[in-house]
Amino acid sequence: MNICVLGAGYVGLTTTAVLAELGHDVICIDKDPDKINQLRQNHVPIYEPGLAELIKNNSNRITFCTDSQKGIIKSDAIIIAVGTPTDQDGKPDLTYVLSVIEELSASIFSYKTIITKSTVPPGTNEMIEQLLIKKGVKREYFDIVSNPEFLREGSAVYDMFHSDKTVIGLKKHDLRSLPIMREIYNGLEAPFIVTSLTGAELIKYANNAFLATKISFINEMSRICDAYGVDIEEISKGIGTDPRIGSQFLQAGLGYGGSCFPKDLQALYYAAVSKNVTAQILQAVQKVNETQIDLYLKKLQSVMPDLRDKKIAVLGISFKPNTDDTRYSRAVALIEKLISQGCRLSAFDPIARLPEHVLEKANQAETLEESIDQADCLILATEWEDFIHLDWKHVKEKMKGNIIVDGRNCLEPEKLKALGFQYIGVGRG
Amino acid sequence: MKIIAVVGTGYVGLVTGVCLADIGHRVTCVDIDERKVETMKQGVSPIYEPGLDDLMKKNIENGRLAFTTSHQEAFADAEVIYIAVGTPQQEDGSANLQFIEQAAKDIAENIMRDGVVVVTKSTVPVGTNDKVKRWILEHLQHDVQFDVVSNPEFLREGSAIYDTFHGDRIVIGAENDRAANIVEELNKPFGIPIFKTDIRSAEMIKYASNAFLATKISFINEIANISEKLGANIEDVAYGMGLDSRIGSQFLRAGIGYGGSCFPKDTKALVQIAGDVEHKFDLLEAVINVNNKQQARLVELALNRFTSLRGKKAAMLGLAFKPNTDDMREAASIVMAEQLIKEGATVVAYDPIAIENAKKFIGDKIIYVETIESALEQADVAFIVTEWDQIKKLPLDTYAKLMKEPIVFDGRNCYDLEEVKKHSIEYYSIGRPGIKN
Repeated sequence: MNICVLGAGYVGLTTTAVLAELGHDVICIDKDPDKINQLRQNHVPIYEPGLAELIKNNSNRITFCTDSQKGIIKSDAIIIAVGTPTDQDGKPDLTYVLSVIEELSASIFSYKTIITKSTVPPGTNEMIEQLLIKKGVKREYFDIVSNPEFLREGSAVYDMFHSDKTVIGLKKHDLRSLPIMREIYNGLEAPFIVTSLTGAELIKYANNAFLATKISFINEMSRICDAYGVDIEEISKGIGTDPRIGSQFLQAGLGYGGSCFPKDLQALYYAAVSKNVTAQILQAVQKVNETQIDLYLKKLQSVMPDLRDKKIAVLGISFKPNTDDTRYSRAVALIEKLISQGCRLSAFDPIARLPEHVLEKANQAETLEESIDQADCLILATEWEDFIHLDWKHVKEKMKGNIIVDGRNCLEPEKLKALGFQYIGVGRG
Repeated sequence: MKIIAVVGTGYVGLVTGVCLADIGHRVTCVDIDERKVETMKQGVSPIYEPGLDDLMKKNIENGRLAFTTSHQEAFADAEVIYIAVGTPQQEDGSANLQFIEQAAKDIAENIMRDGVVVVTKSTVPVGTNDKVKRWILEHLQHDVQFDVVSNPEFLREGSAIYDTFHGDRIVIGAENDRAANIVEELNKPFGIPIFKTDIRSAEMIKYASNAFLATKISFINEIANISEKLGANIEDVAYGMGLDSRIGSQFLRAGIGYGGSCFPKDTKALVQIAGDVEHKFDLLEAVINVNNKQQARLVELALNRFTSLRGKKAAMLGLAFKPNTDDMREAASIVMAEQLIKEGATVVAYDPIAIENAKKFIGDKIIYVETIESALEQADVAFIVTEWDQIKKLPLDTYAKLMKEPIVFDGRNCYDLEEVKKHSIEYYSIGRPGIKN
C-alpha cells in the first residue's frame, strides 16, 4: 500500500520504518528541510536503537520529503504523527494537528484513510472529521481512524513489532477502514481492539495514566516506608508477585518524566475537568510526582544543610536510560532546583545534552570523570546501566565529599556504605 | 507434620486451620465461643465459604482437625501458633488490636515448650508483631524461648480455600532464619512461591497490596466517569489497558466500587498508618473518596433519569458486597438502600444468600424477597448491585416482562451493550453510553 506519514519525530520515523519493513511504500513528510535532508543522507536525527538500520535497509521503499501535498495525493492511507505538546495550562496544543488538517483539506481528491497516531485528547478525531468536511473535503473521500501509538522511547522499534495491542477507533458506520488497517499491519501479531474514535483516544490516556499511578503509588509508599524503617524494595517485590499488580513500574525514585506521562496525565485531567468530572486520583498522582524532587532535596539538606557553592555531580540527564530525550526529565528538573539553591552543577549523560536554558547555569561534563571530580555530592538521576556498575572505590577517591543520592534506588546501599559513602535513597530502611 | 494451634475462627482463622490440616498438620482451632466450637466440631462452618464444610468434615474424621475453647489444651503441645483474630476498624480508621493483645496474653500464659513460633495472620499495622512479642514476653508464665513471624493472609472471601492452595505467594516476615524456615517448611506442601522478608516489610506488604488493588478499582471507576461523559465505552478502555502486561486485566472492572471486610478497612488503616508519621497519603485518600462516591453513583444516575423516585417500586438485585459471599460489610447496597428510602422509593431486594446478614445492616426499612422475579414484579426501576451468576445470566426479557416499565441501572456492567440493544428496555450502566430502545 502507499502510505504517507506526516511528521518525522520518533513516532513518525518508527512508523515509517516498520511499515516499510512490512512491505509498504512510505512517504514520510516533515516541514523541517534540514531534518529531511539529514534523513535523505541516511542520518537519523534521533537516538532510537535499531531505527537507523531499519530505515537504511528499507530505503528503496521510503521517500523523505517536505511537500505534504505530493505525499497525500500519492497515498491511500495518511498517518498523522505530528507532535501534540501541552500549553502552559496543561491543555494539549493542537497547532500541528490543525495545520495537518489544512494540508489534508487542500490535497484530498480521492478516497483516503486518515489515521491519527499522535496522542490527541478525547474528541479530537471527531473534531478532525468535522473540520475536514467544513473545509470542503467530500465525506465520501475519507474515513478517519484513531490508532494511538504505544511506543516507548528507547525501544520504539521493538515495541512496534511486539506490541500487546493495536487499538483501532472507528466511526460507527465505517465498514471500510478495518480491512485497510488489517492490510497495513499485516505481519504484526498484536490483537486488534476495535472501539469508537473517542474510546481509542481514551485507551491511550488511561494506559499511561495507570502506569503513572503505579509509579506515584510506590513513591508515596516509599515515604511511609522511610518513616517506619521499612525497605520499599521489599514491598515492591512482595506486592509485585501478585499478577493483579505486576512487578513493573513499581520502582521508587525521582518520579516519572518524558514526553508522554506528564503530558498525557495533564491532558486527561483537563479532559475530565472540561466535562465537570473531578479526577481526584489523577490529581493526586500528579501531586506526588511533582513533590518527589522536593523530598530528595530535603533529604540532601538534612546531611548538607548549606548547598551554596557545593559541587554536585548529576549522573543522567535524559528522562530515562537509553534515550537522549530530556523533555520533562526529572533529572533536569532536579538540576534546576539545585541551581536555584546556589549549587555548582556538573551533569554527565552518555548521550543526552542539557537543554539550552539550563546550560547557561550548569556544566555539561564531557566525561564522567569531569563530573565527579572534587564533587561534594553525587546524584544518580537516570539509571543508565553504566552508572549502576561504576567503580565506586574510584568514584570515592575522585570526589571531595562522600554523599551519594540514589534517585532511582538502583544502587546497593550496603556496598556503598562499606566504601565510606553516605547513602541516600527513598524508603530504603 | 507440625502441631499447630489457630486462635480465632473467623473466616481467616478457620480457612487457615482447615487448610493446614488438609496438607497434613495436626491443627487445633481455639475460640472462646462455646456454641460456635460445638457447631464446628460437627463439621459445620459458621460462615459461608464454598467447600469449607466438606474440608472440615474430612479433616475432623481423619483426626487432624480439632476444636476447643481451652487455650491450655490448644497451646500446650503446639509448635506453631497462628493468630487469626479480628482487627476491627476504629472510628479514626486505625485497627483495633485488643483481640490480638488478648491472644498474645493467652499464648504467653499457656506455652510450655521452647521454640514455639507465633505467626500473625491477621492484618495488622506496621510494628504490631513487635508489640505481640512484647505482650507475650510481659505475660510469659514459663521460661521458654519463642519467635514471632508475620505471615499475612491474601484470601478472598468466596474463594478463600482455592486461594490458600493457589495463591501467588506466601509472604513470611521473620526476625531470624530459624523461625522463617519453620514457617516456610510447614507451608511447602501448598506448592506456592515463598517470599521471605523482615517482619515490618511483611506487615506493610499486606496493606500495600490491598491499597494497590483498591487503587486499581477506583482508577478504572474514575476513568469510567470520564468515559461516560465523553460517550466512550469503559469496557473497551479497560480491555485495551488490561492487555498491557504492566497493567493486567484484573481489577479493572468499572462498577459501583469495592466493599467487604478488607479493602475499605485496609485502605483507611493505611491512611492512618501514614498519618501517624505525618504523611498525608493523598493518592489513597483520593482512592477512598472515589469509592465512596461510586457507591452512590447508580442512584444518582436514576435521579437524573427520573425527576423523583417518590412512590416508585425499586428492585435491588444483590445485596452482598460481592458474589459468592453473604458478607454485607461496606456493601454498596447499604448506601443505596439509604439513598432510595430517602428519596421516597419502596425498595424490594433479592439476594441468594445474604438476606439474613443484610437485615442486620439495613434492617426492616426495605422488603426482602426470595426470588428475582418477585423483586422485579411491577417494579418501576431495577438496580443491579451484586453480579451473582443468577443475576448476570437473567435473560433481559425478564425485565421487560415483569417490570411496570423496564428501566434498569446496572452497577456491575453485567450485560453486553449489543445484547441490550436487541431488547426493549432502557438500560444504564457505569462508564458506558445509556440505551433507550
